[in-house]
Amino acid sequence: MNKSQRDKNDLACQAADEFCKLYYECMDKTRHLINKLYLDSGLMVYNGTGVSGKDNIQKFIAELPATSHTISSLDAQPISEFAVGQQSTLTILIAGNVRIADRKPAYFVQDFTVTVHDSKWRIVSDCFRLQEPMT
Amino acid sequence: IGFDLEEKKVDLPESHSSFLCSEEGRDITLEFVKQYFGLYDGVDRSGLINAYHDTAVFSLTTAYNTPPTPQNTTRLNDYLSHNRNLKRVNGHNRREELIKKGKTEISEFLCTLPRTQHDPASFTLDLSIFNAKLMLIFSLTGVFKEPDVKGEPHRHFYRKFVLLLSDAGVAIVNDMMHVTNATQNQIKNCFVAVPLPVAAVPPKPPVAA
Repeated sequence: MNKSQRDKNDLACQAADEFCKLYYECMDKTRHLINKLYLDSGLMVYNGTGVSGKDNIQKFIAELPATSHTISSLDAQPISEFAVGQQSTLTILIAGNVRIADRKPAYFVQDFTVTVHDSKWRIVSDCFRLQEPMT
Repeated sequence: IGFDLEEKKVDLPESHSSFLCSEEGRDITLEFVKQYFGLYDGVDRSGLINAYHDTAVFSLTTAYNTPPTPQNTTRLNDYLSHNRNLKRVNGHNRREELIKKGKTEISEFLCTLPRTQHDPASFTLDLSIFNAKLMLIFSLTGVFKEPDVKGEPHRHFYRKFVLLLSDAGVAIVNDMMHVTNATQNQIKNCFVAVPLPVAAVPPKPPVAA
């Protein structure tokens, strides 16, 4: 693996670590700001419900019950240039426990596709899934 | 007389087994999932080499969803030694080593993981990005069991794929995998239903909140 790919991998790790802290702090405490983390055309998929557009996403999140996330696992990769060209884009995978309202904590996994826009990282799309049986 | 600050009771939106951002992308994605997990569940996974692009990358994370106790001894040891959890792995070199690179290294690595049997009826599938001439991104979750491992453990997995689309076919460029233990509730509900609910779900446009 060449040096520049290695640098990109390092950068992805740094950005993912910072992103993870910011996103869940925003989700748990300052939901009215969460639209700032998304592209205008961003897409959120929450347990199979798709919401598109950053303002719709913010409204959707504002109406969810209160949450408190604890992160156990984080990983990130730069997305291949064959898929995104020179547009720096990351894929991030996060897992942990979430306490929703007064329920028992439940395990969740969430992935993000994040790209650079106006020199900031912004979410293109994310998918959230609670660990639950589908029947 | 009380005050009006009492929080109104809000509940989670109902879960759906699938979200598909594009109807056109549905068939490609479902066909890919069927072929990929057919090979993955086989005795020999080396055929998966053809699913990956020359420059593909793969990484694995794992974590206990509840702390292991003497009563619950299902361990994740087969996954832990390859765990690229950035919360725990700090060195640049170790982080770099834990990314499997290229179709040969990836398929050889996948052959070293325990043999699996996935339950397609447990799958959830979310297609979040689709560009017919270029690429698609989807996330898949579900339950598999490990028939060759003592106690036949059941696991919950989450997989995220970035696929290139071309006239030559489909090739994985990014692959991320997360594994944890299945919950009692999942174990009770898996390998009983008739597959495959995802195929029957019509694509839905995103909702406006």
